[in-house]
Amino acid sequence: MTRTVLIVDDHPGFRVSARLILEAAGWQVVGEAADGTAALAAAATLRPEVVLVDVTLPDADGFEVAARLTGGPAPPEVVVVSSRDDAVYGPLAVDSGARGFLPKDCLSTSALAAMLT
Amino acid sequence: MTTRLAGSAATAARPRTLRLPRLGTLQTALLVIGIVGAAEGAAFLGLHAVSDHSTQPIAITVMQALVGWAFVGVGLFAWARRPDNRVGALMTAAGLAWFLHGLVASNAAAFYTAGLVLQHLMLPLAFALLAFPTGRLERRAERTLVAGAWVFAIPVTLLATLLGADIEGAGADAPENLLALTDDPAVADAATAAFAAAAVALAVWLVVVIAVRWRGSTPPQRREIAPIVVTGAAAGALFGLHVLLLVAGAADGAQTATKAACLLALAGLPFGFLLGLVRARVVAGRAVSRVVEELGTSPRVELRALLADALRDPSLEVAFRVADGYVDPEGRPVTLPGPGTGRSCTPVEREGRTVAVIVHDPALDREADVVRAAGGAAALALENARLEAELRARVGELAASRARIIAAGDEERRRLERDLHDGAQQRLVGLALRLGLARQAVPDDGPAAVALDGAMDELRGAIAELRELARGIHPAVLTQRGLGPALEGLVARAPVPVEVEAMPAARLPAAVEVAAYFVIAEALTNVARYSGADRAAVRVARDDGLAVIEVRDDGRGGADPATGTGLRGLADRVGALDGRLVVDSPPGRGTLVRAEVPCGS
Repeated sequence: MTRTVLIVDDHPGFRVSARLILEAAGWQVVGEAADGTAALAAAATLRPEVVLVDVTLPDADGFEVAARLTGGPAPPEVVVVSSRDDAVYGPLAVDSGARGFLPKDCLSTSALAAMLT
Repeated sequence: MTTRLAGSAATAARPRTLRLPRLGTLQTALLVIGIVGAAEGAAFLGLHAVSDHSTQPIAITVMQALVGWAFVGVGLFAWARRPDNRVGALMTAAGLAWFLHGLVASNAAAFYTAGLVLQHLMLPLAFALLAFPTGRLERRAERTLVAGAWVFAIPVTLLATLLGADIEGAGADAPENLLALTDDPAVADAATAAFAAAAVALAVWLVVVIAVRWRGSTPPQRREIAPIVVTGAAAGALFGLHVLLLVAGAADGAQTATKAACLLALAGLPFGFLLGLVRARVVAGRAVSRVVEELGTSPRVELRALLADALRDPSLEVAFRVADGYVDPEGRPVTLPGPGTGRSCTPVEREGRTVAVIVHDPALDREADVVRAAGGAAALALENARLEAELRARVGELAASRARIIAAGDEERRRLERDLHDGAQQRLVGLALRLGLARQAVPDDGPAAVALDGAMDELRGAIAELRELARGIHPAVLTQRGLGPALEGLVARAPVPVEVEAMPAARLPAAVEVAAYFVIAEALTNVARYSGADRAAVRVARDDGLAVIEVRDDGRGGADPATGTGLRGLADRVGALDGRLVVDSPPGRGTLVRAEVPCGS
């Protein structure tokens, strides 16, 4: 099942790797954003089904961005990602309205699909 | 020794010539003025003695003469003592002018008329005594009042004389008023009434100005001006009353009584002034002996309070000299008040060095030698207090620098964690993702797949180790989300079940959060390693300006903070925030680690 995805992270290296992985599995990466403000604007115009949000963004906290993205009507499904891993990130992600938290090194379409509806 | 004693005895025995001190120019001038004043007073008495129209009792006349002499005498004394202060000269001039009103007792019309015109010349000079103690009329209201008194004493009195007013109540027997332009009794009566009204207004004005000055004065200033303003206000009020009784035609007895009371108050003014001059000496002696006595009986007495009490200035403060400025008794840096701040400074020296500065009310400047004497008596104690204050300042500085070092260390750890995250961690994560892609591109059963799977395992291990290292340096979630979420991660990783019993709703100051996190992390590590406990509990609460952090377990106890470097380092970190760390670990009854850190209210 193919999905449209928006990648939000200030590290360009991760955005490139994530795009390669998702596109290799046939998913469609419709856009990339480097901070919270750009992420909200891109989500509004591109209407992706899935948004990957990094925990640490230059202008915002990834959990806050997830809450903003999922707070509106017909929201995308959000997954919070980070190269850090903390037991508390999962509950924080769910509290903010996201589907869950995924460490970046575990990123794959199958891991994502397991979280999404 | 013996020889010397004999020698000095011989010197003392040598006969000495006594010589009268030579008089300077000022003293000569003052002596001449004194003789003039005495002669004037004698003339005053003489005029009254031979007067054919003066009806005032002899006692009043004598009192009037004494008032004049008191002003001249005390004025000359003050003038000689403080030639640079105009108050003495003013008082002398007022006394000399006072005798002029004796001319109205003269039987000669020309002198009588001159007396009518000049009789109030003393008033503006006496009013100008409001310049006490500085010698300058500092307030506009006082300058205006003195100007008003001049107007009353010269043009108003002259005008009343021209209109034939009977302002002395001299009656029909008085000599002719040579300046009277009219002898119409109606005009004279009206002029008398108007003049009396002006006199009463001037008296009320004086009392009001004095009252305002009193209200606006500090206690030391009040103490200083009391002799002048109390007698001045009383004389002013009684003078107003006397004029009212005169105009109302009150009984002679009542008039004489108010006049006598007014004269008494007026005579009190120079004597009050004299008392003030003498009292400064007495106060000086008393202040010094109080300081010496108190320091002798209770050396730990609070010096500021002692000096404030001895010098009777509640606003007095003490600043101690330290290497790079001044500090208060608590060791906090202070700035000395400069000129124009309404405060004065008197340095206290010991062995040629300034040990302290007494900051006081400027009213004490005129008793500067008293302040210096009291400070000198307390110099040794002040030097001790200075050393204590300096020590406190050092301790304060050390505490501040320790807190700064910890804060700088925390900042450095935060930066290091961020660098690891942005650098090595990102690269390793990128590498893992690409390795995953490569793995998908090779057949599952080939040797390449085995090699790639092995590489992936190694890489995952490296990433996990790096994460663990970074989190140990600084937990990012603590900065991002605060102590509560950071603690949840800590609890989730702990091998022993941990219950978080309490957590403040609002975030704590950053330095306190970091200290609390590391205290709990270290305590939980110790629980897992050494205690053999089945469970542990964590509690963080705010209590009366303190953050109280507790970690409890039900393990074997017997932990000694002196043996482990972990708890020792934590005690230092908590101490740097002015807090304390207590470990209570009786054998067999579990361990309680409790930290208390001040965190504002």
